Amino acid sequence: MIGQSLADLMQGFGVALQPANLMWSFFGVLVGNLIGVLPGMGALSAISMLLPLTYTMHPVPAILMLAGIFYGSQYGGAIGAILLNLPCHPPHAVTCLDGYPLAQQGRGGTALGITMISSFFAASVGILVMILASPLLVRVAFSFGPAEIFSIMLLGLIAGSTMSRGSPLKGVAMTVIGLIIGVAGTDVNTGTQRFTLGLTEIDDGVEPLALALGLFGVAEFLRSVNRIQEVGSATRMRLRDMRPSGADLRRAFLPMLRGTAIGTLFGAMPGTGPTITTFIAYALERRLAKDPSRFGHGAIEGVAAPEAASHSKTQVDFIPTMSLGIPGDPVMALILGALLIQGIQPGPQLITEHADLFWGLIASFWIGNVLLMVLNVPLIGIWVKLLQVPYRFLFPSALFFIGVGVFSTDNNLFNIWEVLAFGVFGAVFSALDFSVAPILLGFVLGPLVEENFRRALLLSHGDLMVFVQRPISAGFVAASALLVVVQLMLRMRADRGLKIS
Amino acid sequence: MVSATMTGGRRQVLRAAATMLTGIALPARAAGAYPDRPVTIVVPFAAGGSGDVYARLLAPHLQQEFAQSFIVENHPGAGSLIGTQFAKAAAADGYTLMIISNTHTVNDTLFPKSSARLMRDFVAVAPINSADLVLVTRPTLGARTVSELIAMAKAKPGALRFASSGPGTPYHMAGELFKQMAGVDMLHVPYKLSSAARIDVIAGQVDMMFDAPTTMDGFIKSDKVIGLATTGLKKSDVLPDLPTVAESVPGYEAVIWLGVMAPKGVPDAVIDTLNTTIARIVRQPDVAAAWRLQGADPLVMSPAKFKEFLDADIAKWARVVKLADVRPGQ
Repeated sequence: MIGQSLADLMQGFGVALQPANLMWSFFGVLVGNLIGVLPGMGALSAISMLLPLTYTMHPVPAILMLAGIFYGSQYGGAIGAILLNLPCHPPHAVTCLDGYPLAQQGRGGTALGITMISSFFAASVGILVMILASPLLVRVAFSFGPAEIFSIMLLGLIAGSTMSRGSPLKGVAMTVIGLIIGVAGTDVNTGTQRFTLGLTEIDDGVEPLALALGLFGVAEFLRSVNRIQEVGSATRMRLRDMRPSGADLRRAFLPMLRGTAIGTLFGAMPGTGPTITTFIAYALERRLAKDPSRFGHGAIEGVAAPEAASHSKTQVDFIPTMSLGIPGDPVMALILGALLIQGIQPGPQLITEHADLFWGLIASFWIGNVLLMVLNVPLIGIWVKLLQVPYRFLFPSALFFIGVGVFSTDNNLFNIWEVLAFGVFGAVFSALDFSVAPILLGFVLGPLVEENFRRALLLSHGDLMVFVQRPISAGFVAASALLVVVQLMLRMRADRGLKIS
Repeated sequence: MVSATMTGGRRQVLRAAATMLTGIALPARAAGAYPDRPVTIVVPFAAGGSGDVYARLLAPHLQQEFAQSFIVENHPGAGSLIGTQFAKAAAADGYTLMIISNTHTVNDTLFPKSSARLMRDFVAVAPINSADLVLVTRPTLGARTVSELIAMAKAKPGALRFASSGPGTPYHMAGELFKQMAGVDMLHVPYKLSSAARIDVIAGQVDMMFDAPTTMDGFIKSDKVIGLATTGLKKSDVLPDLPTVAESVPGYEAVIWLGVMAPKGVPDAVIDTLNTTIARIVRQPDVAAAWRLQGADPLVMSPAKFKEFLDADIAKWARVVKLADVRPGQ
């Protein structure tokens, strides 16, 4: 089985290294990277813009180019998250937490370097897992029903809500606000509209991109406008700060490994989405850290782990996407749409009937990641220089691109109002020293928790025991309970300690 | 094997489209004749879905026939309501067209208060194609035919669970129509995406669903699911070995069709020109052959006939929605 896979992979490298294919792959990576850097423009806008170009192309280069755009823009998005606090893709919100403080301390180049190394390492591991374990991954995918997804999301919600800096109570409060925002829209079970304020635009819920960009980027801009001089001067930097030092690399190494492992695990579970993956990776690092208070103030581990997690998750996710025809997120859905237009039906037959495409794609992932690395080592200096653009030019142009980006998600002006509203909201709450990241966590996980909870109960005809009778689900429920108990015990011990002293 | 020929057919169409886009000088047309500037096709669905795919496959052909650009614009959201309201607000001059599907005819009953009403605010231009669905069950269910499934459902009312991609979607409506026409009671389990529903059928979490034949083809062939029947009145081109549901439940038909409408007020002459051109395109042998392999049968009707078809479809689904007690929206 593995021998066959390796032989197929060799053939795949042959396909991906053909000059024409390589050129399209490079083109995709380059364009994706450049678009991804623009604030507000993520993989989704990049792919939807360039999708029509692929209709007239041969399927293999078309898909290689789209895949290139995909990971190119994913990496590009990390640049915006770190340098400008602008997550164009909700999973990147976690990268902002420590990436942006690093950039403010003039160590943006270090953060970008670590991001690049972590992404490349995690993607390579993800690719290896795809090759070695794809039949196993498909089997794992099928053992995750609604009950299991509910339980794992519950764990994520509990682990994630207390991870931000500051008071855990504030973190929980923000998570609850996120849950409430996540409730808005059409109820999946009954079709009833909830909290839509009578606006058709909210029928499908709040736009995640608008929420992420508003709470992070726009809120940050709003808070900085009165102190532009201050903010501008903090970002001056020296050239030698642009490369990660040996100490940084050592510090980031284990978090990168753990992040990769988490991403790989979640990659095997379709329907979990990338956001929970990065939040869990971050929460884990914060819990394992000797000094958790560094997190949120520029801890390099807080950049390495989530970036590694999101990249390995993305790679491993390709197995359910391609072999089951089940997209993990809207970007994957778009790539599947592109395959359909090419007359290729994703599904169990794809790997056998279009072996050149499938293995060529896998090989091109790796080649593309190498290209990304080669491309970005010299570019880091240029990206970081972006910050030396005076803020009176940078802020307005970033806001312009944010507007374009959210508008282009579904060609709707309403989204721009959403960004603005969440920007004001985020600015107010961060001024009051609330961390906004848990809002995003609640917003992304809330609907998944509710949907899968109700679905599991529908399927069990109302029997709550389903969550503890199924072994995987029972395991996650137990872990959630344990987490709450440990949290309470630590609290109590701390209180007692205070009293004694 | 099906897939290989399908690719060939589709690729030919695309290659033809490519030459059209890039090379050949376009025939000159008299000034003032429709269309003398680019036409926008509003797709009220997300990119990548069948409404989007066929709009984008149709556009280059229209472009060649009319020597004008046809631009596809996605305005997804609220189960087509947002794009429909957007298209309604456009000028009724024939330069804005809208792709519609049976989502629209179902929504007409589900959202009686929507500011855009299909038959009041739009005129029928032309149908494009129609695609059957396939009824599949989890392999461990035990029913091999539609009659066995009906017997099973009658023995235990409400016990069988069917998945769909949400209330009011074509997959859900196909199930409700089946319940009503076969006289059985089954539990509806909605999902946000058909792909999530699909994985739960394959994994055996839920008993059955109606789904697209091209998507399910590979899973049926590899025995991951059992294909019971297709939902058109005649056998499907994609799954010719399966009977139709109508063979067991006479008169049962639940297909996904696509068509084109325009804001009310567009001159009849423009409607007629568009109708004959679209009909000519979908009847082209290479187009028809490629679409059939994708499970879509070209549909041709005059504007008047298409309007009758829409009225009848709205009435059909209104009955199903009312009997099924699907919660109506705002």
